[in-house]
Amino acid sequence: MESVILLCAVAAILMLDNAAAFQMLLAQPIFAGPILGYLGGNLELGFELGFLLQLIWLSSMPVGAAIVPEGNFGSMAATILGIFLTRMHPQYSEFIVFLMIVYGILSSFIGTRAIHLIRKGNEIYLTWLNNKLNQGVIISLGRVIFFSLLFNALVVFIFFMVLTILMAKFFELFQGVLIADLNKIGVYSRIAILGSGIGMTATLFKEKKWQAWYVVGLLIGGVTVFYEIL
Amino acid sequence: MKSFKNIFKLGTLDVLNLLWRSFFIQSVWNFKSMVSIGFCFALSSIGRKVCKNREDYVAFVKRHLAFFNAHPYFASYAIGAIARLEQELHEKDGPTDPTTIEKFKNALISPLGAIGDRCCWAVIRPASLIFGLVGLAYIENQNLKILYLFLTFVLYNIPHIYIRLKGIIDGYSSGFEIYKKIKIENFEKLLNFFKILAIIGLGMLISWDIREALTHHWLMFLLFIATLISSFWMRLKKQMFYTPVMVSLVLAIVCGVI
Repeated sequence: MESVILLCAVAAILMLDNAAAFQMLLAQPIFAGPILGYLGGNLELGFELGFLLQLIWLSSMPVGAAIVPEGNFGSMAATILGIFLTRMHPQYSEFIVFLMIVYGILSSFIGTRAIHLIRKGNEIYLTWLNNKLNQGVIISLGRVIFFSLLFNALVVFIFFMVLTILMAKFFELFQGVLIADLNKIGVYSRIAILGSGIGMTATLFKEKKWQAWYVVGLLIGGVTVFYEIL
Repeated sequence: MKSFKNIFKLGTLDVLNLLWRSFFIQSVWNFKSMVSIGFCFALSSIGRKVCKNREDYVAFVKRHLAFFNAHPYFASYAIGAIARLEQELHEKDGPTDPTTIEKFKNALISPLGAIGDRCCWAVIRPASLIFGLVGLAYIENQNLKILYLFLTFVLYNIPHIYIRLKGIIDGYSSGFEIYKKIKIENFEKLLNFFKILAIIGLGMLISWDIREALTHHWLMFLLFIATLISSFWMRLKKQMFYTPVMVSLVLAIVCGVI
């Protein structure tokens, strides 16, 4: 339980990098996955979930003020739960990867609600600041930023904790019906996500004048793979 | 027009202070005024220097708490330009009045948002992440993977911080003229580099995935090709990401059961 609290707290801090501060990529699954994996004692799973979940959201862009499914939130929620479940049920490790992909997508929509709640809550600061200014009182904006970040991290932490506990209990309900053969689905889902992720991302770079570079990439990759086989 | 040396009054510490504060521009993002509190926070260090009395500073804060939105990185162009205009307003050495500053700030919202989305979210970020994914795919050793992720972090954050810093300096040196520098053509070389990097990366990922699929089972190869083509096609048809992903997962379940 302590490790789940730690992971949720670290994930809540990493989520600040998503949109609230810095935005240096640390909230992206490719970074957050290994960080959470390392802290949770399963770096390999962190790398794997980070890799697969990153591919899913690579082609999604937050344009302007639009609210899109929070892929980074979903990925962190999935990595935390994945680490927890793999520790409890290592026999289903491959199937858990499949489940975490599905759960990551579903929780990205819950993440959107969390972000909406935070942004709605931030309106209180604006109203308060304007009221104080009308009274001629000057408030330190640095303090407002600090408390807003704290509120942001707290809301996200609560969401992560509740989701992880609920989903872990939900998984327990299916203990009796799960069989080791389900791991096959996990193996196939990995390949399916690789194909799907690359296919979706390729739409971002579909201009004709750059297409020759795909061949260069395929050749470099082909030579590297061939060299490894030899 | 004044030369750069004549008009540049910001010291290195002022620029670094603006840069540091620009990292928090979206911290108090809200639906009423969007990034205005963060924007005002970034400018407040300048406000405290140029405002002559308390009333002046209250008016300054009120002015910048009004609605504003921009791409978080490219907002630094507005920060730099407004810092200069505020300085001119308070030193009475330019054709600036508070209403003009407000109108100018509003006029910057669309171009800053558009160029930021096109440069950073559509090219630099996905390209850097593809670079990272290639490393995770090809490198087996976990320590080397961590080192490679660090490289990815640096690769992304060099242009990221460069844009923020250049925005403050260019904005301050140009003032009203900044709109001439907010053009996608000015970032062409940077974008071309990242586009080539991304496409080579995608090609390398396809090679790696084909090898992965073929070493397991021929059905995996078919699944990979089917999901690759179907997802590309569905995304072209403007489907949200979850439709291609869900279709791919259903195919994976079918293959797993077979």
